[in-house]
Amino acid sequence: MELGTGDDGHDGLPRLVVAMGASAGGLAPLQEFFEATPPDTGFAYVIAQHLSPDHATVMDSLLARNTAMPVLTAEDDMVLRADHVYLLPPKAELRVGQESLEVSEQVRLPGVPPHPIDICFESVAATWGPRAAAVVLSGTGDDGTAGIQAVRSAGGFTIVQDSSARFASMPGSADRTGAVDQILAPVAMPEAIARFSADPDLARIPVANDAYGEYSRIIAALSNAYGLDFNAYKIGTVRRRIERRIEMSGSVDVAAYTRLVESDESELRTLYDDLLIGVTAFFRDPSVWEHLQATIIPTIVAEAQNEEREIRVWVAACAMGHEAYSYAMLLLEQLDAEDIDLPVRIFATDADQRSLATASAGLYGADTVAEVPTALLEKYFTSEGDDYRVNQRLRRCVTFSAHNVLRDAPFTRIDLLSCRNLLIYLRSEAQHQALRYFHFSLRVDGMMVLGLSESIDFLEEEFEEIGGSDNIFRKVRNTRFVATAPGHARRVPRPVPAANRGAVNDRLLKAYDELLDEYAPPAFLVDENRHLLHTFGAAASLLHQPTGRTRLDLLDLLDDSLRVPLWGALQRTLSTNEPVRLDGLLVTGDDPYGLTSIEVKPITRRDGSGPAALIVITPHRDDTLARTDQGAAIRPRLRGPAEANQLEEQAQLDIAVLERELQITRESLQTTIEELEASNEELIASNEELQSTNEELQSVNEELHTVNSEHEAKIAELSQLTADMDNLLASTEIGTLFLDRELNIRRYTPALADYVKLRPQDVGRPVGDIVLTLDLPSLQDDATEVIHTGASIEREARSDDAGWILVRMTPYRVAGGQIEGVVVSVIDIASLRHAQLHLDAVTRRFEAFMRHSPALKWALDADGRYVFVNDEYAARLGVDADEVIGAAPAEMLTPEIDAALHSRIGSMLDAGAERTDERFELQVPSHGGVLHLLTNVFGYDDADGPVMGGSALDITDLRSAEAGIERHRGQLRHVLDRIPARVWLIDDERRVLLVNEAALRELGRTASDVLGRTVDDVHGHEAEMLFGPVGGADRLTDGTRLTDPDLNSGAVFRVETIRLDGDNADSHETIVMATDVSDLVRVQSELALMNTELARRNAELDQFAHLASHDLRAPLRAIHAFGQMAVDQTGPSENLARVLAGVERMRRMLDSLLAYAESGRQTLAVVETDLDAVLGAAIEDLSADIAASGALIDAEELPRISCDPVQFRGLFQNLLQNAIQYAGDDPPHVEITSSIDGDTVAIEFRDHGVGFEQDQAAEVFEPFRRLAPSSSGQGIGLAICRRVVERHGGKIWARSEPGKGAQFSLRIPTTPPPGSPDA
Amino acid sequence: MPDLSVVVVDDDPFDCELLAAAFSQLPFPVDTTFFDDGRAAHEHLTSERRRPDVVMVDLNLPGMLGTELIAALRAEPVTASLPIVVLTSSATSWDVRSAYDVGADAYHVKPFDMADMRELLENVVRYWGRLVTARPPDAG
Repeated sequence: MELGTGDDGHDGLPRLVVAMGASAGGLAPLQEFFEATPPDTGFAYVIAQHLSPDHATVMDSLLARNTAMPVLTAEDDMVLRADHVYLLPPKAELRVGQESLEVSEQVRLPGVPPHPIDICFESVAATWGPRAAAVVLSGTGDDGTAGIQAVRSAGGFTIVQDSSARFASMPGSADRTGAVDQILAPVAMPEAIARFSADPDLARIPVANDAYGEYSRIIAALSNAYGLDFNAYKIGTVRRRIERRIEMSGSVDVAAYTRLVESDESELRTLYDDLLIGVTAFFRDPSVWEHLQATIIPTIVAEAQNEEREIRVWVAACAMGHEAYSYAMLLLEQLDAEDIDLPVRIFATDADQRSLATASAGLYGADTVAEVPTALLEKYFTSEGDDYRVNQRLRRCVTFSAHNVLRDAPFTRIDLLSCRNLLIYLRSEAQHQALRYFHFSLRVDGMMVLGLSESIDFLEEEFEEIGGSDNIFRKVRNTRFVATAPGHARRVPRPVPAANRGAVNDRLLKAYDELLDEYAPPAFLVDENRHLLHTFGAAASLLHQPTGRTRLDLLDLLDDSLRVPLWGALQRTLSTNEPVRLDGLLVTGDDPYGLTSIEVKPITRRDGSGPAALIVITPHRDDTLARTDQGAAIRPRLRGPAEANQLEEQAQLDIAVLERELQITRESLQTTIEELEASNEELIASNEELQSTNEELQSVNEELHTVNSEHEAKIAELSQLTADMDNLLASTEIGTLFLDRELNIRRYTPALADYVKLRPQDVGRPVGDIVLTLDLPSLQDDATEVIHTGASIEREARSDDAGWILVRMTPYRVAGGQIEGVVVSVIDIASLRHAQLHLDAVTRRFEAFMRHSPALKWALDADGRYVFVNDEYAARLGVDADEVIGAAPAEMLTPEIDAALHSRIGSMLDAGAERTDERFELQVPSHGGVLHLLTNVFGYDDADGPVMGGSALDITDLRSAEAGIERHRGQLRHVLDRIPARVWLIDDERRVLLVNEAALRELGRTASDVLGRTVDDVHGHEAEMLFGPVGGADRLTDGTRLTDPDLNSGAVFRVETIRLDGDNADSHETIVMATDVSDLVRVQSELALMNTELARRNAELDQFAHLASHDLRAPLRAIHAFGQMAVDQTGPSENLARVLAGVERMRRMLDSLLAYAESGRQTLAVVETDLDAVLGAAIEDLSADIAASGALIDAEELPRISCDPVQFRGLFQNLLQNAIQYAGDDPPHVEITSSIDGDTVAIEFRDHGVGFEQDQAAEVFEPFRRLAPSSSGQGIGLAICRRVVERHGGKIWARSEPGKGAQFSLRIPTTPPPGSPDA
Repeated sequence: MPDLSVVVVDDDPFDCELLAAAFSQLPFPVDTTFFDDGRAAHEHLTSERRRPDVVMVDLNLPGMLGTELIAALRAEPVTASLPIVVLTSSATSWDVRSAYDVGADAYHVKPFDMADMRELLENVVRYWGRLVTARPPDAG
C-alpha cells in the first residue's frame, strides 16, 4: 500500500487520524463517541488518556463494547491501520508516525505533571498535518492545550467537549487558545470529523459561548425565596443539580431555565428540594454505628451520669430524621442496659421545613425500617398497616427545628454532634464556618461525627480523631475563633447582652456628642480597616465625599495632602499599637487648615472587637514656623500673584515642606515595600509549593477519575450480571442457599422460602442457628465435607409439607479455584419422587402378578431370546427361571416341548405376524403326560422395537375334567334311559331339554323330534295331565301328585316334579317324572277298604269285650257272694272252694279283658307330661309288689313329652310288673334308660329275669299270650303296653334270650301325631 | 229314730240280691227300696213325700243311664240335695269323672267279696244316713 493514499485505506493506512485526549470523566464521552462512530470510517483512532501508573486499565474491554472496531493497547512499532482504535498504555508516551505507532516509557519530571495528550497530539500534527483531528474530552488541567494548537496550526481539525464534560478545565483550557474549531457533545463529534474529512472548511463553524453566568441568577432566586445561600455550596454540585433540572424541566438552555425558575415558584421549590437532597437511612454506614454503640455512646452516658445532667445531642442536617432516631435508640438502649434514668435531648435540625415535618411525624415504610434490628423495631416502633411509627418514648427524645448551620446560632453544651454528608456540599469557606460553630457548640470532650468523606480540615488541632475511618472526633479544648469570611457567611445573630442595650441612654449620648463638639480637638475615630467610625469636632470640615459609591475608608474621604502621611501613620499604629505623631503637615484643600500636627493613637475597643485608632488633628497656631509662615503659606493660594515678591521665599518654604513630605512618604514607602517584599516572598514560596502540590494532586486526581470511571463501568456491568444472576435464580425456582466457609448464610434465593423459613435478617447468621424446616440433620456435616473435599453431595429429604426435595450441596469456588463456601440447592422432587414411587409400585405389582400368575408367561426379545419367564413357565416346562434369560427357547426346552411350543410361534414369526394376537391350544409332552396349553402369542413394541410375548394357561385339568364329564354324561344317560318312568327336563317355556328312552318309547318318537319343542306340542292332550295346565312351567312346584285316571285307559300316573335352578336366578328347569301307578292305586284302595273294615271289627271286638267283661262280672260276683254265703252257712267244702277259686280266676280274666278293651276305647287326653313323675307314680302304685319282691329299680331321668299321663302310668306299671313277675329266682332288677333323638324319645326297660327266646319276641305283645305257664299274669299287660305306645304313634319291641333277661324298647314321638291309630 | 231308708237303683238281679243280703246283715235295720229302672226311680223319688237317707245308683242302666238319673235328680229342687252314691262294677276313670260331673256325692266299685260289700254298705249308710261314726268313709 502506498504511503499517503488513504482514501481506500480500509484495513490499510487510515485516511485520517483522530487523536483523542481524555482524562477525568473521559470514559463516558469516549463511550458515547464510539457508539456514534461507524466502524468503517477509514480513520484510525488514537486515544491518549491519563491513566494511573499503578492500576491496570480495563479501558480496552470497556470500549470494545461500544464499537465493532478492534480496540488495541498501543505497542511500539504497531502498524497504524484504518478502523482501529489504539489506546495509550499506562506509564507510556504515544507518538503517531506515518505508518506505525511509537510507544516509549513516560518521562516524568518531579513536580511537572506529564502531558501525554500534548505529546500525542503534537506527533499527530507533525506527521499527519491536515489529515488529523484532535479531540479534547473531559479532564482537568491543561494537557492537550498545546497539542491542540499544534494540530490546528498544522491544518488539522480540532474539537473540544462541550459543557457535558464532567471536568471542564481541560477542554476549557484548550478552548481558550482560540485554536478550537468546534465545541461539541461527544455524540456529535464523529459526524463533524466526517464532515471535516469531506470538506475541511465547511466543518469549521464557530460555536456559541457557554453561559455559566446564568447560574448566579438562579442561586440568587433561591436565596431570595428560601433564605438559603447556595453560594456556600460547591458550585459544581449546584451546577450539576441545576443542569439536571434543566434537562428534566425541558428547558432548552440555562437562560430559559433561569426564566422558568424566576417565574415558576414550583420549579424553584423542586430545584430547592433537589439541592437539599437528603439521603439518609437508619443506621447508615454500619461500622460508624457499631463504633458509636461500642464506645462513644457508653462514654457519653457515663459522663452524663457522673455529672448528673441531661444528654444533649445535635443532629445537624437531619433530613427525614432517620439518624436522629437512630441516635435516640442507641442512647435509650444504653440507658436501659445500664438501668440509668437520665433525660435525653436530641436536637434534630435541618434547613428544609418539609423534611422536618416528615421527620417529626416519625412514620416510615417497611422497606425503610429494614435496617433497624428486629429487637429495636419491636421496642421502638408500632406497626401501622404496612408502615411503622416511632413510639412515644423515642419521639419524646427528639426535638426537631429548622436551623441553618451557617446562619443560625448553634446549640450549646452538646455531648454528641452529628453532621454527616452536609459539609461535602459546601464550599470550603462555608465548611470552615460550620465547623467553627460545631466546635463552639460542643462541650469539651464532646464528640463530633462527620460523613465518611468529610474532614475537620483546619481544625485538626482542636479535635482528636478517635473514630479512625469512621470520622468521629473529640473536642480537646475551648478555643475562640473569629469570623473571617463575612462575605461567605451571613452575620451570625449573636445574643446581645441585655445590660449593654439597657445602659446606653440616647439623651446622654447626645450630651456627650455636644460636649465633644465643643471641647474635643478635631479628630476621627477609625477601625482597623480605616473605616470611619466617628468624627469629632471640626474634623468634619476635612472630609469630603467623592461622587460615586459611598466610601467608608477615611483615606478616601480626606484631601490628598493628608492621605499619604496619614496612611503611613495609621499603618504603623495599627501594626505596632503605638501612637504616631506627624508634625508640620500643610493641609490644603477647599478649607485649608494650614500647618497641623496629626497624632494617631491606638484605641482599645470595649467589646474587644479589634483595634481602632483615634486621629487627632492639631493646627500649629503658636509654633514659630507656623506663626511665621502660616499667613504666607496660605496667602499665595488666597491672593495669587499679587505678592510675587515673596514667591522665592515662599517657594523655599514650600520646597522645605515638600521635602519634608517626601521624606515622610519615602519612609512610609520603604516600610510598605519592606513589608510587601517580605510577604511577597512568603507568598511566592507557598505559591510554588502549592503549585507543585496542586499539579501532583491534579494528576493523581485525574488518574483516580479514570480508574473510578472504569470501576463504575465495571460495577454497572457487575450489577447487570448480578441482576441477571438474580433473575436466573428466581426464574429457575430452585431454592438456593449460599453458605460461607463458616456455614454462615450469605445469600439465598426467594424460591428457598418454600422450604426454609428465612428472613433477610438471617443473612450472616450461622445456618445451624436457623431452624430449618428441612428434615436433613446432616446438612451441616455435609456442607463441611463439601468444603473439605470439594465434592458435591446430594441428599433426598422430606420437607415439612411432606414433599420430597433433593438437596444438592456443591462447593462455592471463587476465581482461583479455592472453595469459599457451599451452594445448597433445594429442588422439589415431590412429583418426581411420587411418580417414581408410583412407577415402582406399578412395576412391582405388575411383576408380582406376572410372576405369580397361574398362567405361563414369557417374553422374547427381538432376537427371539428370553427376556422374561415367570415361575409357572419355569415349573411347567422344567427350566430354571434365572438361567433362561438371554437364551433361546430351543436351548432351554426339550426338543419335543420346543417343537410343540414354538413351531407355531416360529411360523407366525416367519409370516411376519408382528401384531398377532391369536389363541390356540398346544399339546406339549411333559413328565410323561401331555400338557394342554391354551396359548396366546402376541407382538408388541418395547424400547428396541417389535418383540414377542406369550402367555399360556395350563388347561390339562380342564380337558381331563371335560372328559370325565362326558363319561358321566354317558352313564347318566344310560341310567336315565333305564328308569321305568318317563322323564323329561323342561324349561320355563315347557320346552323339552332332555327326555329319556321310556318317554320317547311311549311317544313313538326319537329324541331329535322332541328336543326343543314344547311338551304341549309334543304330547297333545296328554300334556295337561302330565305337565299341568298349559302355561309357563314356572307354575310347577316341587311335589308329587297322582293324575286323574286316563279317560281312555284308566291309567293313573304318579307325576313327580322337581324344580331346579336354571342358568340364572330367574329361570328354572323342571324335571318331570311320570310313573304308571295304576296297579298300586288299585291295591291301595283295596287296602284302605280292608283297613276300615278291620278297624270297625276291632271296635266291635273292643265293645264286645267291654260289654262281655262288664256284664259277666255281676253274675260272677253273685256266684262268689252266694258261694261264700253257702260256705258260711254250710261250712267249708272242697267243691265250694273249687267253685270260688274258679270264680276268682274268671274275675281276674274279666278284669284283664276289660282293661285291654278299655285301653283301646278310651280317648287320649294328651297333655305336657313329666315322664319322671309318671314313672314315680307307677313305682308308687307297685310299692307293695316291689317291697315284697325286694326289686331294685335304676331309672335315669326321663324327659317331658306330650302324652296321656294316665295311660303312660299304666304303661310303666305293666312294664315294671312284667319285670318283677318274670324276675326268676333273684330279686328283680330293672334298669330304665332314655334318650331323645330329634322328636323321638327312646326308653329302654332292661331286666335280668328269665327272659325268653328271641323268636318269641313278637308274641309277648299278643293279648293273653303267656310264655311262662306258671306265671301269675293274665298275659294282657304287654298287649296293653303295645296298645298305649301305638296309640301315641310309637313303637315297642322286645329283645331277649332265655336266662339273660329281657329288654323292652319304646320309641315315642315327643308329640303324638294327629290321627294316630285310635279306632 | 225311724229306720234308715235307702233307695237302690240297679238293674242287675244278681247284684240286687247280693245287696239285699248284704243290707240284711248290717248291724242296724235299713229300709231298702230297689228300682231296676231309672225312670221309675226318678218318679218315685220326686213324688214320694218321704225322702230316703241315701240313693245308691248303678251306672249301667237300661233306658235312663245312671248319670242321666243323677242329673235329673239334681235338677229337681226336692231331690237336689239328696245324698246320691254311685255303686257300679266299672272302675274306669271316664265313668268316675262323668259321675261326679253330674252331681254324684260318692263313687264306689262293687266289691267282689261279700265281707267287703257289707263293710262298704255299712260305711255308706252310716255316713250318708247321719249315723256318722268316728271312722271316715272310705272311698276305695
